[in-house]
Amino acid sequence: MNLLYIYIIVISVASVAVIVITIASTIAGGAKHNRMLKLKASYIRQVVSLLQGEEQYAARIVATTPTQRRALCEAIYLVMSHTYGANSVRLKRTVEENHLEEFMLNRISTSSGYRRAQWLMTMSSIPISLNSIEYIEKYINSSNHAIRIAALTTFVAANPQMAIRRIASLEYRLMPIDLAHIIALLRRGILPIAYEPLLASRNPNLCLLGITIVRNFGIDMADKQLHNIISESNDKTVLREAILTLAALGRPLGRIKIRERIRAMSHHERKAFCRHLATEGYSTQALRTLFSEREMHYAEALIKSYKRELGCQQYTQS
Amino acid sequence: MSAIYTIITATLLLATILISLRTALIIKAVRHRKFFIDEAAGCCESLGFVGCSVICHTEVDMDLINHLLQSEYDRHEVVAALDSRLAPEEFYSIVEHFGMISVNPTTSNELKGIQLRALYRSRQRCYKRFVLIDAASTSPYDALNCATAVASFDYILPLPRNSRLHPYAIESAAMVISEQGDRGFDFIRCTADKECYILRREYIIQQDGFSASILGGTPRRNIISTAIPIAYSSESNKTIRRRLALYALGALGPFIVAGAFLASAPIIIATLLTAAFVALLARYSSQYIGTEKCSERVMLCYIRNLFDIFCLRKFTF
Amino acid sequence: MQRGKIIIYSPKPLLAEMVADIIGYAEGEIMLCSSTQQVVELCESIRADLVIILSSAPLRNGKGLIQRLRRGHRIPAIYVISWHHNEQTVLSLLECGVDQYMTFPVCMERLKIKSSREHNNKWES
Repeated sequence: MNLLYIYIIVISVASVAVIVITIASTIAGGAKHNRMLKLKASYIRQVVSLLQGEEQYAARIVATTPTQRRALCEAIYLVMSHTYGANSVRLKRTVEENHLEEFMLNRISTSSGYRRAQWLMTMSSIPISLNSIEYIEKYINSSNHAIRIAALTTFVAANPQMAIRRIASLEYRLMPIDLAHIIALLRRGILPIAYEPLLASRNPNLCLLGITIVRNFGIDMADKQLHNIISESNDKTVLREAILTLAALGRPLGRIKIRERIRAMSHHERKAFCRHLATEGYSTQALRTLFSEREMHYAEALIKSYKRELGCQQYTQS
Repeated sequence: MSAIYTIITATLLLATILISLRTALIIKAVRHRKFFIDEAAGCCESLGFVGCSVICHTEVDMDLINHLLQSEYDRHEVVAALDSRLAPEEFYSIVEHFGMISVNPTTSNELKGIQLRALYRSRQRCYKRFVLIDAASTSPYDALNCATAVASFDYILPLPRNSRLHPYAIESAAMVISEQGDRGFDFIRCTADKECYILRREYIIQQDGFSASILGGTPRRNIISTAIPIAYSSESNKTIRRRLALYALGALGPFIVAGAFLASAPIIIATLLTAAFVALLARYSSQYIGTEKCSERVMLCYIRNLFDIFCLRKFTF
Repeated sequence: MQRGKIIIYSPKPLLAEMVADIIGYAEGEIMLCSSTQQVVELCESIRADLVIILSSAPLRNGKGLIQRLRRGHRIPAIYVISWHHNEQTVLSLLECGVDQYMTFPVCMERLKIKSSREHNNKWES
């Protein structure tokens, strides 16, 4: 009976807590959210004008309260992550005058989880000092996946000279979604990396980054290096990515080493690869060199269904 | 007497803990998705070239197909299995609307007993890949098997009856799959909103196609559970409310009866407070799950999920 | 001088706002929409010169949206800006009738010049 009374008290308190949290988040998502949107829109306009070379805006961007600073940080992040070619040095004065760096560092240290990760990511869009870079570096080995990739992105964006060395020293394997964040920096032109040394590297993270660059920028010339990886690498993920990249570039896959690698795959892996090649538009003839006669029957059925122009007819209702 | 009180308190406490944990998992999963899946994740390269085929066979109409094709993700297709003899007008209106072309009904021969009358494919350049199969309507499982036989990708998402997909559902599914790396698994169980499954194509073939027992033949370590919302119920509010009332009655009824039988006000108060707590948590987590008001839908899923603990895993369609 | 009419669609209002700021409100009359239905209605009523769509999703179901946008007498130019850089996706968008495809991150200068040229051409022709 006593237990039941304790339960009633606990559940009542918990219910009140949930009510409070729900009301608070409803308010945050309502009028306050709209005010924030307006504020951000106004800062976006000012940041765009500043980046487009209208120097007079540099003095006008003012954020004094925490809400304004947050809106300005998010506005800068939105503009910088969606555009390239603008000189981010122009932002330096705005960042300094409004103490945005200190503000973001404070938020990073006081928040946790995904909020911390989001603040770290936001920081990748502003020029930051060496002290801040050192501070951020400690989060690169965080146990939270989002935090560590956000910290790595910010570190690499702020310190491009050290990017390769830092990625090479990572204790964990980068996932495709992590590499996409680094590629986004390359697309913005703030991370000048040559793909060739990466492809020649024995470090799986660097090699994966090199392969991702080749694939994202459609570098046909990397054909030879990719073949070298396929011949020499014993890392399953690197090998898979190299073969998929060759396929994505539409390169011929008939070399002996590639054939051997495909033969060494398990039956299921070969089938999955065969399906992948069919969707990439490889012809039956191109695949004949890669798969056995029995597997070809399966590949042919797939490819034929993709080659719509062969023996297909437009439906006309009679 | 005290034993009855202890059992009731323990049961209510267990339900409360499970539901609180579920809410925490949903919030964490949604935050994870929001962080990683921005608009850039529509490119399959960002998600390790994972491909996903959404298959459906009931209540297939233009509206549903347009909804399913809306995903921005690259490696994604929709396969619908219909019987043209049962609803010829609907069938051919879909063919005409999407400018589909008839191709030879070739299948991969991996599943036995697949008989297709016709196979239509959308032209890839103008439309996102959409495949329509004309197959005799025998059972829902046969229809799903026909759809699997012509699907091109490695992961199959059978759309549950009366369901739609959440925004970024395909990207989220691809993200979960991509995060597994080299870890092998048979299927992913999505429990946040309407329960649905993403099955590995090879697993479906190993199990000789879809059946009510397809989910039973796998060890627990080969199942991945995710709290990221993938599918939601498209049933009317009235139906959801009716079902919710039924489930709530089923869940709360025994406690209220026990309270009345023992003439114990604390039992009744504790039961009602637990129900209120579940409703409040569902209301709170619905802010994360959907953009529209979906607290009743989420509440129904919460209660269903509690019942599922005592049920055998069964694939119903 | 008559100003061009530009419609920008994005499910994310701030993104549309950013593109509008890049093009510059002085360049033309810019209207922002968050649903495709709104874009179609606005395009019909104001006879837009340029429609910028900041997502490839509305065009992935075929030519339906483009046909609806170009139903009137004035045929607007359609630009799409998204994160996709897959060749097949870009080709399918161009075959659908998209005039210009750009990927994010976009060059501010290039976008501004392109859109400016587009509606200047419209007014000259």
